[in-house]
Amino acid sequence: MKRRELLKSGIMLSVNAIVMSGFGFYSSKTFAAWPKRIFYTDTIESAIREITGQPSRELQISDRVKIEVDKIVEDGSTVPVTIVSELESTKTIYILSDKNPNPVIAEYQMTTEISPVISTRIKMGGSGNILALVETNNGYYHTSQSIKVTAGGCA
Amino acid sequence: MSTKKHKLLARRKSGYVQVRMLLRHPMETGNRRDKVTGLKIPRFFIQELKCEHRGAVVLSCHWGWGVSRNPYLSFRLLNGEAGEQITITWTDNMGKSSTVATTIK
Repeated sequence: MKRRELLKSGIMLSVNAIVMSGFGFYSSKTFAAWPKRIFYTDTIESAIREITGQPSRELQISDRVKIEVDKIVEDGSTVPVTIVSELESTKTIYILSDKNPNPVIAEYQMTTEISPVISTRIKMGGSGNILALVETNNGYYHTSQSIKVTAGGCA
Repeated sequence: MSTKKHKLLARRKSGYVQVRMLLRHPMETGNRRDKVTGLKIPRFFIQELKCEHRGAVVLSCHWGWGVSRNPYLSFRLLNGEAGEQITITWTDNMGKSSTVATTIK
């Protein structure tokens, strides 16, 4: 009897471990070190390839990822941006800007405790596109928005 | 580093807690030159930032130098009660860590 219970609990534990790791939210990735590779890429194309492992043309565009931003901004050194993801199981949100020497600006790793609405302020090297890339359990989705910067860049 | 100059607010709204943060940090890109000496100003930015609530990390961020000077961040915490604590801890690329905390109002 005891042996049987022990076996049972053992199986339950391993099932739990599989479920947790499949879930992704609390896997080791959440506590991973700063991803140097992605921040040192110098084009949008190579950044997307580093992050997703696939070329950007294979990436799906989704209107359920939204970028809330003024289309014309005066100061490129502080551009307020809000990213909203209406996709289920949003795991990670990336913000990229194609006019910056290094396009990857920030990575946000979500948990189930957070609603995927993130606001921040970013630097833009000039008029260009902001790209929001969202990782879900079903793959990567993105959306982009062109912004006109009237004065100065991020210098 | 004093935490007085950093700001962290957590306010209850309907259905969520709005957390807003404003830190003091130069976020140097490493591409700028000193106007007087002409020398490059070394890259200096916040790399990692974690938000904790009820003893668990609820949001974990990795940043590059494209985040603006004096970084602003706001997000929505789904299950928060008044009086609970929210802690934000960050580490910059020089290895220095700081923390700022607030209680949900």
